[in-house]
Amino acid sequence: MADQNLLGQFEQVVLGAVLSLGKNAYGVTIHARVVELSAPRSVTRGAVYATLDRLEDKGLVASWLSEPSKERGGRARRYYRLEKSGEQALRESAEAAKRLYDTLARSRKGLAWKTQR
Amino acid sequence: MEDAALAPPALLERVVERLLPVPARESVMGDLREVYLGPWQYLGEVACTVPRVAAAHAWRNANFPSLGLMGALIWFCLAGLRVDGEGLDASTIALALATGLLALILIQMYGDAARPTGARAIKGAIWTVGLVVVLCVWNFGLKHQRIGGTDYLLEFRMLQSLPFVLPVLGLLRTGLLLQSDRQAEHLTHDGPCALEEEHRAFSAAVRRVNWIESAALIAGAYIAPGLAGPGLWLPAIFLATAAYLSAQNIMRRTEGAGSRSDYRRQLQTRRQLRHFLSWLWAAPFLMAACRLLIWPGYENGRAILVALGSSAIVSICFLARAADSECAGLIRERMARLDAGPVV
Repeated sequence: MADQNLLGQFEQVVLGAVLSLGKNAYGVTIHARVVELSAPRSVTRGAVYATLDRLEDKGLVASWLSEPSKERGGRARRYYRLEKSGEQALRESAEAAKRLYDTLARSRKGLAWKTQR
Repeated sequence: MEDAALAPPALLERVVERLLPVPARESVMGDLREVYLGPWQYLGEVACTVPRVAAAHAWRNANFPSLGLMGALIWFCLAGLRVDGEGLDASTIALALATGLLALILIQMYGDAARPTGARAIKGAIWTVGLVVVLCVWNFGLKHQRIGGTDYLLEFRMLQSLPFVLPVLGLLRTGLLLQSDRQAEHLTHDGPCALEEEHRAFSAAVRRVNWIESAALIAGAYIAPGLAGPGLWLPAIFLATAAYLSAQNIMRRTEGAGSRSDYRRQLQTRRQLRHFLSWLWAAPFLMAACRLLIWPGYENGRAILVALGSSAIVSICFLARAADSECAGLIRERMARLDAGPVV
């Protein structure tokens, strides 16, 4: 069982972005998805790269370099994919978040606030 | 034409490339180019990206036990340094130590750890002999030396024989290159199973070398004072390093099967450790050259001793650097294999 204490909120967002992008998860697309998921908060590209490195060190994601492409000046893309431990950690985080949401909803007898998009 | 209009200025890209740590250059440079809209937007992206990426890499690659041991070694060497017959004060040593450690971290982040080609390695040997020649010629001006005396003639003969040292250094360097080539040939990567096998073989080899090196370091702790002079600093560093290597072996035995990230982390740790160990093994010999040749040479006006000591130091540094760069290059090749293909 993955240790949930290791996953911060932003790490969960980044993992979610990598999972949702499937085979197209690389720096540019991951950052765009993270910005979408974190709205209205702004997210720098550097924060996403640093978090991806940290997740890779924890063994939650794996990465590899693609073939170089002309539109990137002959440079390769670094693709990311969730490892099994990453999927498990994300699932547990989502379940914990759902339990918290349900508890809050019950205790306030229905939500007194509206979620912001 | 359209592509050229959407590309950042080449000079700006080159500057950004230099600012990024080597492992992140390829992907981050490509991403920044992909989202390029204009020079000011590019600069904004660079400002938000590069410092964070550099800091993350520095933190990720900092092996604190290894840095601590390296710091202790630098402290030991600086504490023994004499300038005009006087030792350095603690604050100067501390400042030099901090600067040295920072330089080490930056070299690991930005240095090109690729193995040198044969031609570059031989050029290194030529430069080393050239440096020794310059030092010997400079020594002719040593004070209190009797022109035409025994030392003077000996030193002149030593200068004449230096060109014959070049093939020896070149052969040693080539030997290191060939040994690394043989190790690199054994590396194959035909899919995840081969990678797992490579990781297992690497872990087993590291464990074996760690035990052998721990034993050698314990023996070295007894021998080092004879070379480097009395004092407990160097033997303490030897013993601390032996303990660290043994602890690494014991910890790895209790861990489960490794993943790609585990293999990558192991490779990074190994690179830093080997860098430190190359210089740790050289340290007693460097101190011996200073203590037994250079300092007595200066004190007694014996230029031949200073020349021999200088030559020994330059040659030892050359060999330590060569061994270190071969090892770092091999590890970099292994890490490149990790990046080579899609994760299945």
